[in-house]
Amino acid sequence: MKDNHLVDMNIHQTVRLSLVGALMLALASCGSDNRTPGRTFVPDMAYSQAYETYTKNPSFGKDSLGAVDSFEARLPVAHTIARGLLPATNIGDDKVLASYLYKTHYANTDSNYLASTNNLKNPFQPEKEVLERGKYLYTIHCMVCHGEKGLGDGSIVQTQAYPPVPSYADRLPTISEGQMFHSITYGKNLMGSYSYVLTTDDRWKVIYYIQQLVNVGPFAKNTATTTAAAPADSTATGN
Amino acid sequence: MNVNRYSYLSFLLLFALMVAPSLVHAQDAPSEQVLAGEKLFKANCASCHKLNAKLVGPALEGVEKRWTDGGEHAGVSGRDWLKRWIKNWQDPVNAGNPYAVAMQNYDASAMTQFPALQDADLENLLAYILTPPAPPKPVEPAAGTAASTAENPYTTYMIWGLIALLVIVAIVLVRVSNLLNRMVLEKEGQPIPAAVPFWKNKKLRAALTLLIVIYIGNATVTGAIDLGRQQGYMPEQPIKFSHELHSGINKIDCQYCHSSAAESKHSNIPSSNVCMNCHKGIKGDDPKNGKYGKIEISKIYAAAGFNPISGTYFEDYANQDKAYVDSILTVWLSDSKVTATKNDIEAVLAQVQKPIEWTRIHNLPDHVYFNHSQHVTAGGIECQTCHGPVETMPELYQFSPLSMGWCINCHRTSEVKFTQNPYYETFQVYHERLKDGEMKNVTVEKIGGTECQKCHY
Repeated sequence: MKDNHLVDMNIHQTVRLSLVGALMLALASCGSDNRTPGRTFVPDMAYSQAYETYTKNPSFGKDSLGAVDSFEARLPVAHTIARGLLPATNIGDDKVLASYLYKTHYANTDSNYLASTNNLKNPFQPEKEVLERGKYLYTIHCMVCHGEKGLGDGSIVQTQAYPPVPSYADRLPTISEGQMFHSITYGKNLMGSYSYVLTTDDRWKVIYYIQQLVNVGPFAKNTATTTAAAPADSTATGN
Repeated sequence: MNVNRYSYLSFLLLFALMVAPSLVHAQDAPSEQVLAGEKLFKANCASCHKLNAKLVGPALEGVEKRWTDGGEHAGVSGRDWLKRWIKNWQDPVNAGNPYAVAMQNYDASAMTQFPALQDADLENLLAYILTPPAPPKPVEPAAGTAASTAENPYTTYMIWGLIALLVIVAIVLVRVSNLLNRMVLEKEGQPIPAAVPFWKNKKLRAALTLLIVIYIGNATVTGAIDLGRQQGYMPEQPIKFSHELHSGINKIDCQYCHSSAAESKHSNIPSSNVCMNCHKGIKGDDPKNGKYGKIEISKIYAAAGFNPISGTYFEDYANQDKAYVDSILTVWLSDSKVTATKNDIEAVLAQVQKPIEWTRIHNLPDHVYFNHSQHVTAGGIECQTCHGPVETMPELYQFSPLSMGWCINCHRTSEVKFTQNPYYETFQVYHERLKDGEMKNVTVEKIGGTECQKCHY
């Protein structure tokens, strides 16, 4: 009799204890999975009802506007200059305007690369602010391959992740600013196009900074050998 | 016996490992000519040519033989035509050398001309191409960087083991003391109380109940606070992309890829053309790129429409025949020094003609306004202030809680870079007070950084 009673109690206790244990486990497991974002309070206030940059927009399909994807963020309309990206100076100069419409007027061909020497002109003056902006952009987008001084010794070349890059000092004396603009816009050899991130203004500012790094173009020193090595037609317009 | 044999074997292996590199080195000591050629190659050729694979131009391994096999033309040997090609490729084409004529349209972009190279330079270059020295070992990342940042599981196990041991010791001690008490009572001839089973012990029950209440209460409160917060969130991404490799070891600037953080409200996820800036050349087929390199990089090719075998983009990729693209990528992955399993290949083919859908990690609720350019450009804050040591993360996770308290605390304590910052020129009174010494610094709070409407409107 007494034994039976004890056994009954035992079962009750075991059930109760295991219930408490299960509850504790359930609570402890809340939010411990870092592969899911977890639950949120009032989801319709947390998640945007409007389309955001990377949400899918059902209005855009594979064929709409010639696009492959349906991201809310769209490509700029062809043959247009976006608001705020018009030339700040010298807008009447054809050679200046040509660079702002370069992609729609000049295809990526070798002949256009050579012709860009005569087709394009840097609209800016090599002033302090221009060079500062050039340095800022160079540090972010160019230095990783071309190196701090333009010697082709950027960090990804040093780790041998990327094949060696030519030094500006060797090449730039024979390359005009227009050709530099063509190369940044379309890419050259293994280098990709940087027109997606550098606006036309920014490209020209970076070009001044690069020319200053190795003393070519408007920064050429008359006594230096660089002027002797450079053909007459490929020096920049500053001379 | 066995032990002896194994130790002998391992000793031999160790010896072999120690000696082998020096032996290889001794064999491959390159000549002066080869070293000079290597220098020239890296400065002039390497941005378009690899020795053993196509880059922009063809692989240069055996180039000398290909030209000599072309035979003499106009009384000049094939090898001399090659030298003239390197200096100015149009020279042998104009002279009608059949191999040069065949090669002139190899790639859409013409080869650079190198009129400055002297004959001795060309000899050095050809010597290097013929017998390149063994490449030096790539810089290994410092061992243990990953281990030290991640929580060590053994420490946790040891702590729990210690707790378990202490509990056992406590139980044993309680039982011993009970036994001794009973023995004393028995010796003194006093009545022995009936043994109470431990689950009926009132003190124990009270203590346990208290512990459970505290535990549940704590779990409820922290759980409720954590609702909608994602600190530590580390979703699986479509590509095994390592920020440690890209921004830590290779030191690529954050804004190289996330370029719009400085310009707009939103910090962008780079489109695949940004990946292709480097991965047009870095294809991951070198085993040094690790176990995943080739497979994961191929997913970018599948999304961007790049044919890694020919080194060109597919034409009109959106309307290209998927089966054709699949077959090329399958050949590319099967012909691999890094073995790709069937699942790996399927994962790559699933990415064909589709944008890479990265999973967003940092996500503020819709009722909070946050602007990246305000913090990055006007404020000049490092990315790591909020995103943590991303350059040490092989797999990205959310470092900060991104809670309101966390924002407000930072706004209260952070000093605004006020002087020489055109963005804050209009705060004339503060500029005067700073000049007079009335104010020592301006925190974000002082320019309205804790006003409700700054972020909620």
